[in-house]
Amino acid sequence: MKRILKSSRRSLLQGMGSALAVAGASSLISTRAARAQVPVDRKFLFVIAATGGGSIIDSFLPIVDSESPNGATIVAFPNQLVAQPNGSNLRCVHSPFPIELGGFNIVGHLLPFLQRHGSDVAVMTQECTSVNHLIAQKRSLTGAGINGGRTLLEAAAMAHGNGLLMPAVNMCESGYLEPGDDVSVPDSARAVAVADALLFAFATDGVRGLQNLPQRSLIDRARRIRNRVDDDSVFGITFRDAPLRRSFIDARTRLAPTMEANDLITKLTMVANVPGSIPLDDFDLSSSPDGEKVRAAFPSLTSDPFEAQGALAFLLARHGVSCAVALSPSFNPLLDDGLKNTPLAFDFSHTNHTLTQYAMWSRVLRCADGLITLLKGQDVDDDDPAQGKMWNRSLVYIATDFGRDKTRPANSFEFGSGHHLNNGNILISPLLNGNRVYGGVDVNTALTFGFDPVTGIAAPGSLMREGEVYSAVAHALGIDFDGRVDMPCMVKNA
Amino acid sequence: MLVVALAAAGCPELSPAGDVDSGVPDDVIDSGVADEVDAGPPPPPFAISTRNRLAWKRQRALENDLLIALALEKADLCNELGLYSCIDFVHLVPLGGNEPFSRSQYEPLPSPTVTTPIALDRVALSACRARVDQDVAGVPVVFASLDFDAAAVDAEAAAAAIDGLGKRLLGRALTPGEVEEFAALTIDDDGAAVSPRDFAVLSCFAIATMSETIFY
Repeated sequence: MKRILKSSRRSLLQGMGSALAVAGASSLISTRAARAQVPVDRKFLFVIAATGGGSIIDSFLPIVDSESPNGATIVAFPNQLVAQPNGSNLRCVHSPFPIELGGFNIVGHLLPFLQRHGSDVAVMTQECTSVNHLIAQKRSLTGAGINGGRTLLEAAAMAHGNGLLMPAVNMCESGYLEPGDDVSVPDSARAVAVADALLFAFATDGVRGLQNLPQRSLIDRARRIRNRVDDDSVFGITFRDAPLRRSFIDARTRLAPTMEANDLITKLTMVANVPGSIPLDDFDLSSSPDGEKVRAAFPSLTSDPFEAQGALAFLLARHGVSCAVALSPSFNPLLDDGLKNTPLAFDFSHTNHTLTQYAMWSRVLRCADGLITLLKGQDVDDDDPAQGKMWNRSLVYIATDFGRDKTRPANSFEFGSGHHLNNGNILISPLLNGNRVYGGVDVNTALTFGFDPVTGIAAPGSLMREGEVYSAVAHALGIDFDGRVDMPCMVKNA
Repeated sequence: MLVVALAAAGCPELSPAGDVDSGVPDDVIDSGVADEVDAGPPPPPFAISTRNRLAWKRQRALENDLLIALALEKADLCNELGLYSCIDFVHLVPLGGNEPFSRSQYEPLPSPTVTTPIALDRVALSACRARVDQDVAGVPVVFASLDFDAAAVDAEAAAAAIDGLGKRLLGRALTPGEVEEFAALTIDDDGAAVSPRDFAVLSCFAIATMSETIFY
């Protein structure tokens, strides 16, 4: 496999420049709407984590059992369970009927997803380096350290987050929530952890939504006096240089007022007023002007935290708060007219591989569908439609821990699978040459193999690693770093 | 103590302002700098930390301290939309907590997030409002010096209330300068009197959200 390693033209100064740009964002954040004058080269990264091990051969790289001499014993599907949209180079697992079995109630969403967004879908094979969930999850975001331990969220925040309030936001769990290991990443580019997307808006205003308080002007006056006394106090002076206190004071005096002035508590409130359960009116709050359309894209957002994450991901990007957002289904079960989220998400494949993979891929892709649909309909800049839609600058990376076992009991669809290094990822973006599989799968073994990153020609016997996936995402988003493996075959106009 | 240590070490004595006393009257020394040049604030009469090791007082300790300081019950603290606990649920993570069971967050964050100050403001405002409401409705526990039926707060009552809040919320006596600063909350930006109820909420909030409330 040909690797294009960059080292000479990407200097240390460039990295330092990015860090300083984000660190110095304070001067650029004003109380004017943060989204005003969106930089023409700003791009958006959305990471959707297929928590627990989403297997590529159970989604967009399936094997039809008749194609393999080992079709009965490798993970493969009968022809009637594999679909290919008209004109598409991609195919997927697809049940023509809803599945109600063993607690599952699955309406597949792989085929509808390909039908709607297949032209932007790139399937990229890879083999990761750990089958430990936490380690593999983190490596899927750091490219196993290819960029000095910097996560993709952090790298995107440093490249595109200049002037944003929270350049990176992470709503995932476990290893996907881990910060990177690059100590040179400034605090402002570290991902803000959000545990509850549905009510996150309340964390953007210190006063609104609380009842029977003094007038806002009086509270603002109290804050000013507090800040002054705090800085002049013995404690404030003694620890004036303490990093913990400094970052807290910076957030309180610089970021919090900007969040409040931009009315994020309204813009990010995705729910509608519901007397009794969500009584916004009683608390002088209102739903986001985008509330109706995010609720249409994510109709279960009040009962499904993953849908709420999808809605918040859009709202954060749309309102100029973030440029890199990660979300994931939970490891915890969610019952909603059937098993909507399996226990341990994709890792329930240990118990029931086929149905878990199909249910969870449908769940992940339904969320991605909602997000992409919103991005396709949203101008980058409300005041300048000529800048195009947000989707034109976006990339959705469906990360996952690792693959699953490639074998099964003869002709069985009811079996459990273990963890397996070999797998692939789904990248969706108009920045990519989509409607294509990069690499391939050996129908004899169900193991994937790599490709030439320049020509894109499949190369049996080769393997792509986490670093190549990281590089593909970085290349598409214009994120430069020493050691990046360029993927000109995948990236448009590369 | 610092002065004693320095004297024992044979160091020149520190003046109250913290600068070294040369033993020569100031007017004899020609610094070569024009008088109108601002030399900046005098150094403090105490040591500034060079190690800067602070610990974050996380959500449960914060909650307990607020409950004890303001003599409140847990149910009195912040609930978003009157339904969802700020500390246990909505703002758990920015206040330093984690939820391993339902959210697979096995470790809390190492440091506050950009939303921590706002979360603290909301929790403190709710707690202070609850205390004031209870003091207005019944026998005052924290704001005994205030006459809630009066149109304004007199200086003595304000100072007493502020002093009590400092001791309850920060565990120390506020300095006279700090009391004077907080006493400015008896009036608004235009100089008009603030009601005793509003003053009580505002002074409580301002003191409860000092950085020494959540770091130690």
